[in-house]
Amino acid sequence: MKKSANFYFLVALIAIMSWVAITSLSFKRLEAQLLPLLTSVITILLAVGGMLVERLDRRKQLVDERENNTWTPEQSRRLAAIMGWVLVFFFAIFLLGFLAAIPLSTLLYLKMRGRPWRTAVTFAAMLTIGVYLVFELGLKSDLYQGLLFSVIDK
Amino acid sequence: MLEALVAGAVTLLQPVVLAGMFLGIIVGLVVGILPGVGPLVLYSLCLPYVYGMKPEVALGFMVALGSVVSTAGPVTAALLNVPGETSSAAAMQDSFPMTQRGEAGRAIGAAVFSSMVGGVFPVFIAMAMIPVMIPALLLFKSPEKCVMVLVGLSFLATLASRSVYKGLIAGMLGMLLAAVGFQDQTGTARFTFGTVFLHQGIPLTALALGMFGLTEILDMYVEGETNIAKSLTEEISGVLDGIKDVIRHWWLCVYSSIIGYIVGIIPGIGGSVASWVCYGHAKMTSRHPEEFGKGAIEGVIAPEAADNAKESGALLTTMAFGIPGSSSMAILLGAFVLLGVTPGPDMLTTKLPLAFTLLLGVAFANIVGGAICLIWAKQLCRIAFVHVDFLTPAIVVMIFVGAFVGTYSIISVLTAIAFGLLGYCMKRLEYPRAPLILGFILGGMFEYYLSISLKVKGPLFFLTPISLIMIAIIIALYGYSYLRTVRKKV
Repeated sequence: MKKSANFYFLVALIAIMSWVAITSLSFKRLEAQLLPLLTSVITILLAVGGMLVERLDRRKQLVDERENNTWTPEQSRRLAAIMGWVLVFFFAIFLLGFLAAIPLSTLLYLKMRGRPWRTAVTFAAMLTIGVYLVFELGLKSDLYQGLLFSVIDK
Repeated sequence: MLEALVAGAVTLLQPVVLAGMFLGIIVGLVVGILPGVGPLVLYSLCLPYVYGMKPEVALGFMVALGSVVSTAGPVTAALLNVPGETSSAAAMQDSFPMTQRGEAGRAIGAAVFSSMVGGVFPVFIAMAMIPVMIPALLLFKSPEKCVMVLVGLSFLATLASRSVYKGLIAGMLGMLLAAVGFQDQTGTARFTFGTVFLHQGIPLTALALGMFGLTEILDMYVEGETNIAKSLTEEISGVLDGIKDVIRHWWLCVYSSIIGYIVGIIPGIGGSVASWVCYGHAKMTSRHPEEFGKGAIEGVIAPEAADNAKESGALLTTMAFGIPGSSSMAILLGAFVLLGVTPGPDMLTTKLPLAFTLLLGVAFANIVGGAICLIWAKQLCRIAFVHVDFLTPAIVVMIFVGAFVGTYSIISVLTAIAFGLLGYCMKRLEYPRAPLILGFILGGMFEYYLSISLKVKGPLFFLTPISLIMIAIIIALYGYSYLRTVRKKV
């Protein structure tokens, strides 16, 4: 029988929690061991219990399989696209800082969605100005400048 | 005492004090809407500016500011599923689903009005409790606090939606994440992977923003939705309906306010606990618990009332003992000292008029702040109908900036992304995300108080009168909930 996505999630969880439990034992003091050891062992027991529940309840398995089948290639493509954009945004912040990354990433997103240049540029500019006014000027938060500008400053 | 109350009220009505409070209300409302910027950040930013002001003006300004942050937070939570502050995450479990089905106005109306009631009602309890405050609070020591945290943890199972084991796994994961970082009691660095960033532990702001805000963005994009309100009835349901809901559930609102107030006066427990405990309690005692997490109005009312109620409790403890009830109260304590006002028992005797001014200030700020939010609610609700193409970059910017401002580290942004992805996997596999946040909030506290309690009183630390009363209440609540489920099935 085809295993459900939840089955693989529980297997991964058991593997991670086993590592957590073993690592916890390496902490020298009992006070430091207590919480991670307790939670990891309970999680392993719950995960094993969950696997048994899923295995015993055939009806539930069929429902899960049906639910898994609803995951389409189109959804995978969309997830990859949005995660790709989120990561590009993060690396833009890391390199260029918030105030340069916000307009660039917003522009990229709106063009990805097929919005006209005028709308995209206006919205990106408004968003950046809003962040600058509220966080830089209003709250005096020093937003991250980015690796590139930090090097240039030095 | 009556003379002190009148003197406190007269001070509050002085134009300069009122002006300071209005300024605090406006700043608090604007900042409360922004994710990640809670009262802690706000108090820290304002601290240098209050130096040299009259104590009643400066403290009135700061108290008003802190009080309304919790009133504005639910607006962002209901509309965008991005918690304005972490304690808004509990009510968001139901306020956002309400927005998705086109009831944003009702959700905001209920959240803001219950916040108002929760902010005002406990002020009068606080005033009445002043004579018995000090002896009562001294009864709460580490064992009692540990049992209180355990009571909070017992709600993990009730937050699970369909499958109890999934809810418990999420809760345990949250508790485990709370173990990450440098443990103060032993000086052990746990699961830090050699990074300095993780020494402080995982930032709660980044975790909450990723787990709820980013997850929702990923889901909306993958599902190809065009706006937040799934049911595209352009007609926004009335804010007034939300207010009527609160009046209809007045007992829940009052009860949650009392719980929130009690949690607020106990130092070291915090507002998020109050919200989650009241959410769990509302679900257990509801006639239709299966609707929780899908847009149950009680799930909005209870945590919001508790969240605001904790403010007057925490303020009273800060004033009476000089012990801050939360990290934001620690900054307020700094303001007290900076302004030459020494917190301690004197605040409840010789300086009682100032204590009354501040407590009445909390009530005043909640009424005015709540009224402003309610008036603007209809306009704010239109966000739910903005096309997702514009909302996505705007929300992601808010999440990233909010995560960064919480710690001033770029790694916080990466943390939010990681938890966004984990939250998305959990959502797809039907693991509830609320227990993870509750486990995270309570995990550290549980470990701390358990360790002290075991050292001081041994393994039977819970055999104290107050602890036993709390245990009895929780057993009675579970028993009642179980009996009702059995009766329903019969």
